[in-house]
Amino acid sequence: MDQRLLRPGVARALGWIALAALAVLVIFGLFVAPPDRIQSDAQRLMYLHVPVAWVAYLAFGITALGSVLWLLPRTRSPVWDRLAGSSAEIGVIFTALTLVDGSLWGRPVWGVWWAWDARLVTTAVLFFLYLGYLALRRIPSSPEARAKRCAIAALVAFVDVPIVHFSVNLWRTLHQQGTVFNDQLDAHIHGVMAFTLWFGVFAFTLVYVYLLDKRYRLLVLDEDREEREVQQAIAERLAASPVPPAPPTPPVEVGAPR
Amino acid sequence: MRFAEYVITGWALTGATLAVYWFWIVRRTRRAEQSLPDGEVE
Amino acid sequence: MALWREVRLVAGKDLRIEVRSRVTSQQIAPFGLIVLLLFAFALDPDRGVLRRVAPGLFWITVLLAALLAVSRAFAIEADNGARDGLRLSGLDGPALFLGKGAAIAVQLFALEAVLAACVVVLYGVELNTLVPLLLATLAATIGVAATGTLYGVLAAGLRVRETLVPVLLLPVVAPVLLGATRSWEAAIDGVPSDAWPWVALLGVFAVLFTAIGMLAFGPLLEEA
Repeated sequence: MDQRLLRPGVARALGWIALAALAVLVIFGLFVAPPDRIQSDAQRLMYLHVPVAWVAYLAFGITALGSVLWLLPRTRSPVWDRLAGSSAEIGVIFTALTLVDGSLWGRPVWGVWWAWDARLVTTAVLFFLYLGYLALRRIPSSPEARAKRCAIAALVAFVDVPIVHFSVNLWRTLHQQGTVFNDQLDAHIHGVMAFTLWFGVFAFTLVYVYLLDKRYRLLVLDEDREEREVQQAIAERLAASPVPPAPPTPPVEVGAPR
Repeated sequence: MRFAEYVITGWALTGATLAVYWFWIVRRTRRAEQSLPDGEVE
Repeated sequence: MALWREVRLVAGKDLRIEVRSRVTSQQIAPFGLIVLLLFAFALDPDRGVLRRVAPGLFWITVLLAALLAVSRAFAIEADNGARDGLRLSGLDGPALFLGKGAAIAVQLFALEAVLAACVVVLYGVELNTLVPLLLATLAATIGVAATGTLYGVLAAGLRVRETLVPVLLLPVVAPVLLGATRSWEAAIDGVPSDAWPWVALLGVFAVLFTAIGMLAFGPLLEEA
Protein backbone atom coordinates (compact mmCIF):
# COMPACT_ATOMS: atom_id res chain seq x y z
CA MET A 1 0.00 0.00 0.00
CA ASP A 2 2.11 2.89 -1.25
CA GLN A 3 -0.77 5.36 -1.40
CA ARG A 4 -0.37 6.30 2.22
CA LEU A 5 2.17 6.31 5.01
CA LEU A 6 -0.27 5.20 7.71
CA ARG A 7 -3.29 2.94 7.66
CA PRO A 8 -6.52 4.98 7.44
CA GLY A 9 -7.68 3.97 10.92
CA VAL A 10 -4.33 4.84 12.44
CA ALA A 11 -4.27 8.18 10.64
CA ARG A 12 -7.70 9.14 11.87
CA ALA A 13 -6.90 8.18 15.44
CA LEU A 14 -3.68 10.11 15.23
CA GLY A 15 -5.59 13.17 14.06
CA TRP A 16 -7.86 13.11 17.08
CA ILE A 17 -5.00 12.46 19.50
CA ALA A 18 -3.01 15.33 17.98
CA LEU A 19 -5.97 17.65 18.32
CA ALA A 20 -6.48 16.62 21.93
CA ALA A 21 -2.78 17.13 22.63
CA LEU A 22 -2.96 20.63 21.16
CA ALA A 23 -5.96 21.40 23.35
CA VAL A 24 -4.05 20.26 26.42
CA LEU A 25 -1.10 22.38 25.31
CA VAL A 26 -3.31 25.45 25.00
CA ILE A 27 -4.60 24.91 28.52
CA PHE A 28 -1.17 24.41 29.97
CA GLY A 29 0.59 27.02 27.88
CA LEU A 30 -1.92 29.82 28.30
CA PHE A 31 -3.31 29.10 31.76
CA VAL A 32 -1.68 26.45 33.91
CA ALA A 33 1.98 27.34 33.42
CA PRO A 34 2.97 30.33 35.54
CA PRO A 35 4.38 33.52 34.03
CA ASP A 36 8.16 33.73 33.97
CA ARG A 37 10.06 35.74 36.57
CA ILE A 38 11.78 37.86 33.92
CA GLN A 39 9.72 37.53 30.76
CA SER A 40 6.30 37.50 32.38
CA ASP A 41 3.57 36.16 30.12
CA ALA A 42 5.70 36.55 27.00
CA GLN A 43 7.19 33.23 28.07
CA ARG A 44 4.01 31.58 26.82
CA LEU A 45 5.18 32.07 23.27
CA MET A 46 8.14 29.86 23.98
CA TYR A 47 5.74 26.93 24.34
CA LEU A 48 4.91 27.51 20.68
CA HIS A 49 8.16 28.75 19.21
CA VAL A 50 10.40 25.93 20.41
CA PRO A 51 8.14 23.02 19.39
CA VAL A 52 7.39 24.62 16.05
CA ALA A 53 11.12 25.18 15.44
CA TRP A 54 11.79 21.56 16.33
CA VAL A 55 9.25 20.40 13.74
CA ALA A 56 10.71 22.75 11.13
CA TYR A 57 14.10 21.10 11.52
CA LEU A 58 12.65 17.60 11.89
CA ALA A 59 10.78 18.04 8.62
CA PHE A 60 13.99 19.20 6.99
CA GLY A 61 15.78 16.12 8.27
CA ILE A 62 13.06 13.86 6.91
CA THR A 63 13.31 15.58 3.54
CA ALA A 64 17.05 14.98 3.54
CA LEU A 65 16.60 11.38 4.65
CA GLY A 66 14.04 10.74 1.91
CA SER A 67 16.42 12.30 -0.58
CA VAL A 68 19.33 10.08 0.46
CA LEU A 69 17.19 6.94 0.35
CA TRP A 70 15.95 7.86 -3.09
CA LEU A 71 19.45 8.53 -4.42
CA LEU A 72 20.90 5.23 -3.19
CA PRO A 73 20.25 2.68 -5.94
CA ARG A 74 19.49 -0.09 -3.49
CA THR A 75 16.69 1.80 -1.76
CA ARG A 76 15.42 3.90 -4.66
CA SER A 77 11.65 4.09 -4.65
CA PRO A 78 9.07 6.80 -5.38
CA VAL A 79 7.99 6.54 -1.72
CA TRP A 80 11.15 8.35 -0.58
CA ASP A 81 10.84 11.11 -3.13
CA ARG A 82 7.22 11.68 -2.14
CA LEU A 83 8.12 11.63 1.52
CA ALA A 84 10.77 14.25 0.91
CA GLY A 85 8.36 16.44 -1.03
CA SER A 86 5.52 16.20 1.50
CA SER A 87 7.81 16.87 4.41
CA ALA A 88 9.28 19.93 2.69
CA GLU A 89 5.95 21.66 2.31
CA ILE A 90 5.06 21.10 5.95
CA GLY A 91 8.56 22.18 6.87
CA VAL A 92 8.35 25.52 5.10
CA ILE A 93 5.11 26.32 6.90
CA PHE A 94 6.58 25.44 10.26
CA THR A 95 9.72 27.43 9.48
CA ALA A 96 7.58 30.47 8.70
CA LEU A 97 5.69 29.93 11.96
CA THR A 98 9.01 29.65 13.82
CA LEU A 99 10.12 32.99 12.49
CA VAL A 100 6.81 34.71 13.22
CA ASP A 101 6.40 33.24 16.70
CA GLY A 102 10.02 34.00 17.46
CA SER A 103 9.53 37.58 16.35
CA LEU A 104 6.38 37.96 18.47
CA TRP A 105 8.27 36.54 21.42
CA GLY A 106 11.31 38.68 20.85
CA ARG A 107 9.51 42.00 20.68
CA PRO A 108 8.25 42.13 24.27
CA VAL A 109 11.32 40.36 25.68
CA TRP A 110 14.17 42.07 23.80
CA GLY A 111 12.37 45.12 22.48
CA VAL A 112 13.19 44.23 18.88
CA TRP A 113 11.34 42.26 16.21
CA TRP A 114 14.52 40.57 15.04
CA ALA A 115 18.02 39.79 16.26
CA TRP A 116 21.05 38.67 14.31
CA ASP A 117 21.88 35.60 16.30
CA ALA A 118 22.86 32.22 14.90
CA ARG A 119 19.61 30.39 15.55
CA LEU A 120 17.34 33.01 14.05
CA VAL A 121 19.51 33.68 11.03
CA THR A 122 19.94 29.97 10.32
CA THR A 123 16.18 29.52 10.49
CA ALA A 124 15.72 32.38 8.05
CA VAL A 125 18.21 30.79 5.65
CA LEU A 126 16.43 27.45 6.13
CA PHE A 127 13.23 29.13 5.03
CA PHE A 128 14.80 30.23 1.78
CA LEU A 129 16.40 26.84 1.21
CA TYR A 130 12.95 25.28 1.57
CA LEU A 131 11.44 27.78 -0.86
CA GLY A 132 14.07 26.91 -3.44
CA TYR A 133 13.41 23.22 -3.00
CA LEU A 134 9.66 23.70 -3.39
CA ALA A 135 10.23 25.82 -6.50
CA LEU A 136 12.22 22.93 -7.94
CA ARG A 137 9.46 20.48 -7.16
CA ARG A 138 6.93 22.52 -9.09
CA ILE A 139 8.82 22.28 -12.37
CA PRO A 140 7.09 19.78 -14.63
CA SER A 141 9.43 16.94 -15.56
CA SER A 142 9.57 13.20 -15.63
CA PRO A 143 9.29 11.91 -12.06
CA GLU A 144 12.81 10.49 -12.26
CA ALA A 145 14.41 13.74 -13.35
CA ARG A 146 12.53 15.84 -10.85
CA ALA A 147 13.25 13.43 -8.00
CA LYS A 148 16.95 13.43 -8.81
CA ARG A 149 17.18 17.22 -9.03
CA CYS A 150 15.24 17.75 -5.83
CA ALA A 151 17.11 15.06 -3.92
CA ILE A 152 20.48 16.58 -4.73
CA ALA A 153 19.24 20.09 -3.96
CA ALA A 154 17.87 18.88 -0.61
CA LEU A 155 21.16 17.26 0.35
CA VAL A 156 23.20 20.30 -0.63
CA ALA A 157 20.89 22.40 1.53
CA PHE A 158 21.16 19.91 4.38
CA VAL A 159 24.95 20.11 4.30
CA ASP A 160 24.81 23.89 4.13
CA VAL A 161 22.65 24.50 7.21
CA PRO A 162 25.26 23.57 9.84
CA ILE A 163 27.82 25.64 7.95
CA VAL A 164 25.49 28.63 8.03
CA HIS A 165 24.87 28.15 11.74
CA PHE A 166 28.56 27.83 12.48
CA SER A 167 29.52 30.87 10.45
CA VAL A 168 26.83 33.11 11.94
CA ASN A 169 27.77 31.89 15.42
CA LEU A 170 31.42 32.72 14.75
CA TRP A 171 30.37 36.10 13.43
CA ARG A 172 28.22 37.04 16.38
CA THR A 173 30.49 35.70 19.12
CA LEU A 174 33.46 37.51 17.62
CA HIS A 175 31.40 40.64 17.78
CA GLN A 176 30.02 39.76 21.22
CA GLN A 177 26.43 40.55 20.42
CA GLY A 178 24.83 37.19 20.87
CA THR A 179 25.05 36.61 24.60
CA VAL A 180 22.08 38.64 25.84
CA PHE A 181 19.68 37.02 23.43
CA ASN A 182 20.97 33.54 24.07
CA ASP A 183 20.57 34.04 27.79
CA GLN A 184 16.90 34.75 27.35
CA LEU A 185 16.36 31.90 24.93
CA ASP A 186 18.04 29.38 27.22
CA ALA A 187 16.03 30.43 30.23
CA HIS A 188 16.31 27.76 32.91
CA ILE A 189 12.87 26.36 33.34
CA HIS A 190 11.58 23.68 35.67
CA GLY A 191 8.43 22.03 36.82
CA VAL A 192 5.22 22.85 35.01
CA MET A 193 7.02 25.05 32.55
CA ALA A 194 9.40 22.29 31.53
CA PHE A 195 6.53 19.84 31.22
CA THR A 196 4.56 22.25 29.05
CA LEU A 197 7.54 22.77 26.80
CA TRP A 198 8.18 19.06 26.29
CA PHE A 199 4.49 18.36 25.90
CA GLY A 200 4.42 21.03 23.22
CA VAL A 201 7.22 19.25 21.37
CA PHE A 202 5.26 16.01 21.65
CA ALA A 203 1.99 17.56 20.50
CA PHE A 204 3.46 19.27 17.48
CA THR A 205 5.36 16.15 16.48
CA LEU A 206 2.02 14.33 16.38
CA VAL A 207 0.60 17.15 14.26
CA TYR A 208 3.58 16.85 11.90
CA VAL A 209 3.19 13.10 11.42
CA TYR A 210 -0.55 13.46 10.87
CA LEU A 211 -0.12 16.25 8.31
CA LEU A 212 2.71 14.33 6.64
CA ASP A 213 0.48 11.35 6.03
CA LYS A 214 -2.30 13.53 4.64
CA ARG A 215 0.06 15.51 2.42
CA TYR A 216 1.70 12.34 1.17
CA ARG A 217 -1.66 10.92 0.14
CA LEU A 218 -2.50 14.15 -1.70
CA LEU A 219 0.87 14.07 -3.45
CA VAL A 220 0.26 10.52 -4.66
CA LEU A 221 -3.18 11.48 -5.97
CA ASP A 222 -1.77 14.54 -7.74
CA GLU A 223 1.09 12.63 -9.32
CA ASP A 224 -1.26 9.89 -10.51
CA ARG A 225 -3.54 12.49 -12.00
CA GLU A 226 -0.61 14.14 -13.81
CA GLU A 227 0.42 10.78 -15.18
CA ARG A 228 -3.12 10.09 -16.38
CA GLU A 229 -3.27 13.52 -18.04
CA VAL A 230 0.00 12.88 -19.83
CA GLN A 231 -1.24 9.50 -21.07
CA GLN A 232 -4.47 11.09 -22.17
CA ALA A 233 -2.66 13.83 -24.05
CA ILE A 234 -0.54 11.24 -25.81
CA ALA A 235 -3.64 9.21 -26.72
CA GLU A 236 -5.38 12.31 -28.07
CA ARG A 237 -2.36 13.24 -30.13
CA LEU A 238 -2.22 9.79 -31.65
CA ALA A 239 -5.94 9.82 -32.40
CA ALA A 240 -5.78 13.24 -34.07
CA SER A 241 -3.01 12.31 -36.50
CA PRO A 242 -3.39 8.60 -37.11
CA VAL A 243 -0.42 6.58 -38.25
CA PRO A 244 -0.60 6.59 -42.10
CA PRO A 245 -1.46 3.21 -43.64
CA ALA A 246 1.52 1.19 -44.84
CA PRO A 247 2.39 1.75 -48.54
CA PRO A 248 1.10 -1.02 -50.83
CA THR A 249 3.58 -3.89 -50.99
CA PRO A 250 4.77 -4.99 -54.41
CA PRO A 251 3.00 -8.14 -55.68
CA VAL A 252 4.58 -11.22 -54.21
CA GLU A 253 5.98 -13.61 -56.71
CA VAL A 254 4.12 -16.84 -56.57
CA GLY A 255 6.07 -19.98 -56.67
CA ALA A 256 6.99 -21.17 -60.14
CA PRO A 257 4.13 -23.13 -61.66
CA ARG A 258 4.73 -26.79 -61.46
CA MET B 1 -2.03 38.78 31.05
CA ARG B 2 0.91 41.02 30.29
CA PHE B 3 1.87 41.26 26.61
CA ALA B 4 -1.45 39.62 25.84
CA GLU B 5 -1.50 41.08 22.35
CA TYR B 6 1.72 39.25 21.45
CA VAL B 7 0.82 35.98 23.13
CA ILE B 8 -2.69 35.78 21.72
CA THR B 9 -1.54 36.84 18.26
CA GLY B 10 1.12 34.15 18.27
CA TRP B 11 -1.15 31.34 19.39
CA ALA B 12 -4.03 32.43 17.17
CA LEU B 13 -1.84 32.82 14.10
CA THR B 14 -0.19 29.46 14.62
CA GLY B 15 -3.49 27.70 15.15
CA ALA B 16 -5.13 29.44 12.22
CA THR B 17 -2.24 28.67 9.86
CA LEU B 18 -2.27 25.00 10.69
CA ALA B 19 -6.06 24.84 10.47
CA VAL B 20 -6.09 26.54 7.07
CA TYR B 21 -3.34 24.26 5.81
CA TRP B 22 -5.23 21.21 7.03
CA PHE B 23 -8.42 22.43 5.31
CA TRP B 24 -6.51 23.05 2.11
CA ILE B 25 -5.14 19.49 2.07
CA VAL B 26 -8.52 17.98 2.87
CA ARG B 27 -10.30 19.99 0.18
CA ARG B 28 -7.75 19.21 -2.51
CA THR B 29 -7.69 15.56 -1.52
CA ARG B 30 -11.46 15.29 -1.87
CA ARG B 31 -11.34 16.97 -5.27
CA ALA B 32 -8.56 14.67 -6.41
CA GLU B 33 -10.43 11.58 -5.19
CA GLN B 34 -13.54 12.68 -7.09
CA SER B 35 -11.65 12.90 -10.34
CA LEU B 36 -10.31 9.37 -10.04
CA PRO B 37 -11.52 6.83 -12.58
CA ASP B 38 -14.15 4.65 -10.92
CA GLY B 39 -13.06 1.86 -8.68
CA GLU B 40 -9.71 3.32 -7.70
CA VAL B 41 -10.56 5.08 -4.44
CA GLU B 42 -8.56 3.59 -1.62
CA MET C 1 46.81 12.42 -15.00
CA ALA C 2 43.94 11.94 -17.38
CA LEU C 3 41.55 13.86 -15.14
CA TRP C 4 43.59 17.05 -15.32
CA ARG C 5 43.93 16.78 -19.06
CA GLU C 6 40.15 16.55 -19.36
CA VAL C 7 39.66 19.42 -16.96
CA ARG C 8 42.02 21.59 -18.99
CA LEU C 9 40.13 20.59 -22.11
CA VAL C 10 36.75 21.64 -20.77
CA ALA C 11 38.02 24.79 -19.06
CA GLY C 12 39.96 25.70 -22.14
CA LYS C 13 36.87 25.34 -24.29
CA ASP C 14 34.82 27.62 -22.06
CA LEU C 15 37.55 30.20 -21.76
CA ARG C 16 38.17 30.23 -25.49
CA ILE C 17 34.46 30.85 -26.02
CA GLU C 18 34.71 33.76 -23.61
CA VAL C 19 37.75 35.18 -25.38
CA ARG C 20 35.89 35.10 -28.66
CA SER C 21 32.48 36.26 -27.43
CA ARG C 22 33.75 38.62 -24.74
CA VAL C 23 30.54 38.36 -22.73
CA THR C 24 32.27 38.50 -19.35
CA SER C 25 34.49 41.41 -20.27
CA GLN C 26 31.89 43.44 -22.15
CA GLN C 27 28.72 42.66 -20.24
CA ILE C 28 29.34 41.12 -16.84
CA ALA C 29 32.23 43.35 -15.86
CA PRO C 30 30.36 46.57 -16.72
CA PHE C 31 27.43 45.20 -14.74
CA GLY C 32 29.69 44.81 -11.74
CA LEU C 33 31.08 48.30 -12.12
CA ILE C 34 27.61 49.77 -12.44
CA VAL C 35 26.53 48.01 -9.27
CA LEU C 36 29.49 49.49 -7.39
CA LEU C 37 28.51 52.89 -8.71
CA LEU C 38 24.88 52.42 -7.71
CA PHE C 39 25.92 51.50 -4.19
CA ALA C 40 27.64 54.86 -3.99
CA PHE C 41 24.47 56.59 -5.13
CA ALA C 42 22.39 54.65 -2.64
CA LEU C 43 24.62 55.18 0.36
CA ASP C 44 25.89 58.34 1.92
CA PRO C 45 28.67 59.68 -0.32
CA ASP C 46 30.44 60.59 2.89
CA ARG C 47 33.62 58.65 2.26
CA GLY C 48 33.70 57.17 5.72
CA VAL C 49 30.59 55.04 5.25
CA LEU C 50 31.56 53.65 1.88
CA ARG C 51 35.04 52.74 3.00
CA ARG C 52 33.73 50.92 6.05
CA VAL C 53 31.21 48.85 4.16
CA ALA C 54 33.38 48.42 1.04
CA PRO C 55 34.19 44.74 1.64
CA GLY C 56 30.48 43.90 1.91
CA LEU C 57 29.59 45.89 -1.18
CA PHE C 58 32.47 44.32 -3.11
CA TRP C 59 31.44 40.77 -2.28
CA ILE C 60 27.76 41.34 -2.93
CA THR C 61 28.71 42.71 -6.32
CA VAL C 62 30.87 39.64 -6.94
CA LEU C 63 27.98 37.36 -6.01
CA LEU C 64 25.58 39.15 -8.35
CA ALA C 65 28.13 38.99 -11.14
CA ALA C 66 28.66 35.31 -10.39
CA LEU C 67 24.96 34.70 -11.01
CA LEU C 68 25.43 36.10 -14.49
CA ALA C 69 28.62 34.14 -15.05
CA VAL C 70 26.95 30.87 -14.06
CA SER C 71 23.97 31.63 -16.24
CA ARG C 72 26.29 32.35 -19.16
CA ALA C 73 28.38 29.22 -18.58
CA PHE C 74 25.34 27.04 -19.11
CA ALA C 75 23.70 29.17 -21.75
CA ILE C 76 26.58 28.37 -24.07
CA GLU C 77 25.65 24.69 -23.84
CA ALA C 78 22.01 25.31 -24.65
CA ASP C 79 22.25 25.61 -28.44
CA ASN C 80 23.06 23.09 -31.09
CA GLY C 81 22.73 20.13 -28.78
CA ALA C 82 25.94 21.06 -27.06
CA ARG C 83 24.73 19.41 -23.85
CA ASP C 84 24.23 16.18 -25.72
CA GLY C 85 27.72 16.67 -27.04
CA LEU C 86 29.04 16.91 -23.51
CA ARG C 87 27.18 13.79 -22.50
CA LEU C 88 28.45 11.81 -25.46
CA SER C 89 31.98 13.17 -25.27
CA GLY C 90 33.18 10.40 -22.98
CA LEU C 91 34.35 12.94 -20.45
CA ASP C 92 33.18 11.97 -17.00
CA GLY C 93 31.23 14.04 -14.51
CA PRO C 94 34.04 15.15 -12.20
CA ALA C 95 36.17 16.36 -15.07
CA LEU C 96 33.28 18.28 -16.61
CA PHE C 97 32.45 19.82 -13.26
CA LEU C 98 36.03 20.86 -12.51
CA GLY C 99 36.49 22.19 -16.02
CA LYS C 100 33.37 24.33 -16.09
CA GLY C 101 33.92 25.40 -12.50
CA ALA C 102 37.50 26.38 -13.20
CA ALA C 103 36.46 28.47 -16.18
CA ILE C 104 33.88 30.29 -14.06
CA ALA C 105 36.45 30.79 -11.30
CA VAL C 106 39.03 32.23 -13.70
CA GLN C 107 36.49 34.70 -15.04
CA LEU C 108 35.49 35.65 -11.51
CA PHE C 109 39.13 36.22 -10.54
CA ALA C 110 39.58 38.57 -13.46
CA LEU C 111 36.38 40.35 -12.51
CA GLU C 112 37.44 40.63 -8.88
CA ALA C 113 40.73 42.21 -9.86
CA VAL C 114 38.90 44.91 -11.80
CA LEU C 115 36.29 45.45 -9.08
CA ALA C 116 38.96 45.62 -6.39
CA ALA C 117 40.74 48.33 -8.30
CA CYS C 118 37.46 50.25 -8.52
CA VAL C 119 36.79 49.83 -4.84
CA VAL C 120 40.22 51.29 -4.10
CA VAL C 121 39.57 54.25 -6.36
CA LEU C 122 35.87 54.93 -5.76
CA TYR C 123 35.52 54.07 -2.10
CA GLY C 124 38.96 55.10 -0.94
CA VAL C 125 39.90 51.70 0.40
CA GLU C 126 43.50 50.66 0.99
CA LEU C 127 44.19 46.98 0.40
CA ASN C 128 46.47 46.21 3.30
CA THR C 129 47.84 42.83 4.36
CA LEU C 130 47.51 41.13 1.01
CA VAL C 131 48.13 37.53 2.09
CA PRO C 132 44.94 36.89 4.07
CA LEU C 133 43.07 39.03 1.56
CA LEU C 134 44.21 36.97 -1.42
CA LEU C 135 43.75 33.62 0.31
CA ALA C 136 40.25 34.56 1.38
CA THR C 137 39.45 35.69 -2.15
CA LEU C 138 40.84 32.47 -3.62
CA ALA C 139 38.82 30.22 -1.31
CA ALA C 140 35.66 32.30 -1.59
CA THR C 141 35.79 32.38 -5.37
CA ILE C 142 36.34 28.65 -5.62
CA GLY C 143 33.41 28.08 -3.26
CA VAL C 144 31.11 30.30 -5.28
CA ALA C 145 32.24 28.85 -8.60
CA ALA C 146 31.77 25.28 -7.37
CA THR C 147 28.31 25.90 -5.94
CA GLY C 148 27.33 27.93 -8.98
CA THR C 149 28.41 25.15 -11.34
CA LEU C 150 26.43 22.65 -9.32
CA TYR C 151 23.22 24.64 -9.44
CA GLY C 152 23.90 25.66 -12.99
CA VAL C 153 23.86 22.09 -14.21
CA LEU C 154 20.92 21.27 -11.97
CA ALA C 155 18.86 23.94 -13.67
CA ALA C 156 20.49 23.54 -17.08
CA GLY C 157 17.59 22.20 -19.13
CA LEU C 158 14.87 24.16 -17.40
CA ARG C 159 13.04 27.10 -18.88
CA VAL C 160 12.95 28.89 -15.54
CA ARG C 161 16.72 28.51 -15.20
CA GLU C 162 17.49 32.22 -14.99
CA THR C 163 15.13 32.98 -12.13
CA LEU C 164 15.69 29.67 -10.38
CA VAL C 165 19.47 29.66 -10.00
CA PRO C 166 19.63 32.87 -7.93
CA VAL C 167 16.97 31.58 -5.53
CA LEU C 168 18.85 28.32 -5.09
CA LEU C 169 22.39 29.64 -5.04
CA LEU C 170 22.31 32.75 -2.87
CA PRO C 171 21.08 31.22 0.40
CA VAL C 172 23.63 28.43 0.12
CA VAL C 173 26.59 30.76 -0.38
CA ALA C 174 25.61 33.02 2.53
CA PRO C 175 28.51 31.65 4.63
CA VAL C 176 30.91 32.58 1.82
CA LEU C 177 29.66 36.15 1.83
CA LEU C 178 30.05 36.23 5.58
CA GLY C 179 33.55 34.76 5.56
CA ALA C 180 34.86 36.79 2.64
CA THR C 181 33.54 40.07 4.01
CA ARG C 182 34.86 39.49 7.51
CA SER C 183 38.30 38.42 6.20
CA TRP C 184 38.55 41.55 4.08
CA GLU C 185 37.46 43.74 6.98
CA ALA C 186 40.03 42.14 9.26
CA ALA C 187 42.80 42.44 6.68
CA ILE C 188 42.02 46.00 5.65
CA ASP C 189 40.74 47.77 8.71
CA GLY C 190 41.07 45.46 11.67
CA VAL C 191 43.40 42.92 13.13
CA PRO C 192 44.69 40.81 10.21
CA SER C 193 45.03 37.67 12.32
CA ASP C 194 41.25 37.80 12.86
CA ALA C 195 40.91 36.85 9.21
CA TRP C 196 42.32 33.36 9.58
CA PRO C 197 39.27 31.60 11.10
CA TRP C 198 37.25 32.99 8.22
CA VAL C 199 39.79 31.91 5.64
CA ALA C 200 39.63 28.43 7.14
CA LEU C 201 35.84 28.43 6.91
CA LEU C 202 36.02 29.55 3.29
CA GLY C 203 38.50 26.79 2.58
CA VAL C 204 36.28 24.14 4.10
CA PHE C 205 33.32 25.41 2.11
CA ALA C 206 35.32 25.39 -1.12
CA VAL C 207 36.59 21.84 -0.61
CA LEU C 208 33.21 20.50 0.49
CA PHE C 209 31.23 21.93 -2.38
CA THR C 210 33.86 21.00 -4.93
CA ALA C 211 33.58 17.41 -3.70
CA ILE C 212 29.79 17.49 -3.82
CA GLY C 213 29.87 19.02 -7.27
CA MET C 214 32.21 16.36 -8.59
CA LEU C 215 29.82 13.66 -7.39
CA ALA C 216 26.60 15.28 -8.50
CA PHE C 217 27.49 16.83 -11.86
CA GLY C 218 27.35 13.63 -13.92
CA PRO C 219 23.96 12.43 -12.64
CA LEU C 220 22.49 15.92 -13.01
CA LEU C 221 23.80 16.31 -16.54
CA GLU C 222 21.98 13.13 -17.52
CA GLU C 223 18.65 14.74 -16.73
CA ALA C 224 19.38 18.15 -18.18
